[in-house]
Amino acid sequence: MTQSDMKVVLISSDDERFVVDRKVAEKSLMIKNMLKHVGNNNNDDDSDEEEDDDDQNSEPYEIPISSVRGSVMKHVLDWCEHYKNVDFPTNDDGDLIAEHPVSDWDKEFLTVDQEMLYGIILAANYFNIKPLLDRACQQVANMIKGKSPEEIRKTFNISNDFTAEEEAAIRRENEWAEDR
Amino acid sequence: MEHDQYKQIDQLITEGCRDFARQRYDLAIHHFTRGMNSCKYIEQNAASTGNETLSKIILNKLVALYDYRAACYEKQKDLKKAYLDATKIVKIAPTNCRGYLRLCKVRLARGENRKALETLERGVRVIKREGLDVTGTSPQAKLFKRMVEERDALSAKIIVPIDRITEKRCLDPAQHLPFEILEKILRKAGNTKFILRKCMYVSKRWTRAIQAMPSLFQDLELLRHGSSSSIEACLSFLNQVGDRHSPKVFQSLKVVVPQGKNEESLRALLTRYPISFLRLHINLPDSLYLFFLMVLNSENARSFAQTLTDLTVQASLPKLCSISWMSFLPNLRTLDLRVVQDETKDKTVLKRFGEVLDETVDPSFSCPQLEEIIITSGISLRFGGFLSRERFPNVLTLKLRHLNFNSLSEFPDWHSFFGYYETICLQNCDGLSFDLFEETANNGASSSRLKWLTFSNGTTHLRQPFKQTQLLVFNKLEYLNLTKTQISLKKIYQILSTARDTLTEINLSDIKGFSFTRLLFASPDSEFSWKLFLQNTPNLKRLTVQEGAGLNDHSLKELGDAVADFVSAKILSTGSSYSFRLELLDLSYNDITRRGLIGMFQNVDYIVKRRTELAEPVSFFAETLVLGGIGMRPEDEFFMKSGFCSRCIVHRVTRSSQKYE
Repeated sequence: MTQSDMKVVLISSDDERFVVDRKVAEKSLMIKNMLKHVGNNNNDDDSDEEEDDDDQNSEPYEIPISSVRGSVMKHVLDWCEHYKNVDFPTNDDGDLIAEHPVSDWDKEFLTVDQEMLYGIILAANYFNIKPLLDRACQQVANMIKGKSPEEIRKTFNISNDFTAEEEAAIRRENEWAEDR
Repeated sequence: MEHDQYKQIDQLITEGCRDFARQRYDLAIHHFTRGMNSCKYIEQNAASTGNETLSKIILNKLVALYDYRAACYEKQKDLKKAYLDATKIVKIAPTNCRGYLRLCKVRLARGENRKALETLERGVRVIKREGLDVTGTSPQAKLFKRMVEERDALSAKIIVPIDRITEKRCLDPAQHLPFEILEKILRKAGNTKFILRKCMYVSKRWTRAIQAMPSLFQDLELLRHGSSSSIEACLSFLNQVGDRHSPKVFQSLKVVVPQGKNEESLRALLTRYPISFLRLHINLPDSLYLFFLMVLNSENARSFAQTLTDLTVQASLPKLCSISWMSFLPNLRTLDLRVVQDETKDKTVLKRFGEVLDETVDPSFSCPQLEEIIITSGISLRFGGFLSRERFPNVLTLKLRHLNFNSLSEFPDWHSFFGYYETICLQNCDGLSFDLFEETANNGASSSRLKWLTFSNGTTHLRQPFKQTQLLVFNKLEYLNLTKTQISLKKIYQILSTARDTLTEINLSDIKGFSFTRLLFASPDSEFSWKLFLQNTPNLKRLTVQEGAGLNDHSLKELGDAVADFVSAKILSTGSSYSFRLELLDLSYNDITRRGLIGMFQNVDYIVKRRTELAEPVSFFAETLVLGGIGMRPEDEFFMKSGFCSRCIVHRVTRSSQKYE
């Protein structure tokens, strides 16, 4: 078994098991870093204790992910699978260099309810999958873009907890930013 | 008889419109209703005689009448009747844009935003399906254009998923997402003004969250409406936000204030509040002068000047030179000077730029931190010794625009000057030809540091016969822009061959010296060949050729052939599939046609497929395809749908020769 067709098992917080190719899982920089020393058979000097299996290649590598639910994990892994052959170039800070245009596939992929969307954002943040995080954040930003405060409240089911006086006070403070 | 009836209907329409304008809506409705009745009467007659043209004219009149009457109802807030009239138009004349536009308006008034958008979408769909001619300037075409625009504006406001979501669970992002992610989202959602004007009012939680995100306020712009009171308000706001965070958070401020209020506002900015910015952009004719007077006179301003790293300033030359200002900015990294025409037009001040600055700036003063110098001049300034290496030892970026280099040779170390920089941008400079680089090379300085070169609009005259003793070497060059420059093909190939390992972006817009069509020039020296070009640029990612001499469908075909050769050779040698991918291909303002472009892309696929039988569906792919000024329609999606590009820009493309870098 070579390194590239090694399988990784991700275990979600609700104990669902996801078996994926290493290549797919490594879309996540977090997992990629974790797997750095795994699979290089001759490299036993710097491997950590938990990775120090005797017959590491026969068993798929298991990673418990306690902060991500199975339903979200499935979504995120779908994304990784779809983009497994695409490289997203990043600079030294890990930020994306070029903005990739959001494809129709992404739009469809991110057309989910807000709970799932936030779940995806949190998972992408945890897994460190920058392009997914970027796109999901853009999706939320699009819900805010160009809207009035009332429309924003409606979109996110927020109740207005300002009294009239409080609102007037903020308005005064920000007066200079208003168009006149 | 019919003629009279037409006249009567027109009369009724005119009267109705007049009453509408006078806000006598009841009367207007009365006229329009009478008009409709007349129409119906004629229509019945026409139907019985089978006169088709007649019913067409009547139909148009009916549409107008319903449209106007609906407008009246709208004004009277009788939205139900307005709605009925609007739907009636769509029903009787489904290919007329007026119905959809009116219905959309009524639905918006009824608060049915989603349905309003759907109405317009349906309208656009129906009219496209019917294949009606909506180009040109006919009234229908204008209405259709308006419909498309309104649709786009609406769909930008209403995003489909949200409406689907509202039925499900809605969650406050400020409550369920961590701050750093919320911050990221807000930055994507709009600029500082949007956040301050809208997001701040959503809820207390949002206000608190936003106030705790200093990075949202890092880049502020204080523009146009800069009355003294609003500047005052802005400054007090800055101060408050500044108080909440320590150290002071602001990164940049852009101030554009009308003339006459300069002094007051700048004084307020610099002296009243202890705020510092790293980047300052002041756009006031005399601001630099004032600014440094402030610096001299105020403690706050002095510390402010100490922290400044980026300064953009627009000033007239006498003011620019009247104070030894450089000495106050020890930490400046980027200096962007924009010299504007002085109103006095005093000839004596138009001395050499270098001399003037040399006289006023302490000769021993140096600015070791400065990394980037940008000078844009509206007047013909002579380039001089001010920019000497001793004074600015670490400058890596030099951008000079509209300067006059006619007396360059008087400047003592000019010939080694260009050996130092990583980025050089020389735009619209007089008295400069590309020979400059050869001369520097002859004098022993190498251009090997250079990564980014823009040399645009160089003059056509060559200052002295070209003696080549040393080859020009650009072995780190990544970006090359030669817009509007007089340069021979031979030299271009020379640069390309030394930079072939690094060069990724090339701009060859409007080059004076060769043509892209072989037929125009007979000499082999001036014969451009795409094949040779591609061989010399194996790492090419972005290619711009705007207004290329002789770049037409014929030379496009040659480009296609060259790409096809390139791709099939690659496939045959490696045995695996390959496609030629560019990030950017800009062919705006050339004498090319849409058909020629399509032919080029398809031809590449065809040739590659035939030669290798291994071809990918698309062998030539440009991520962004820019095709301005060749008569393509903005809604033309052919290139995207065919997979030749993932973004196609045909609209509002800036000409390369007018762009500042």
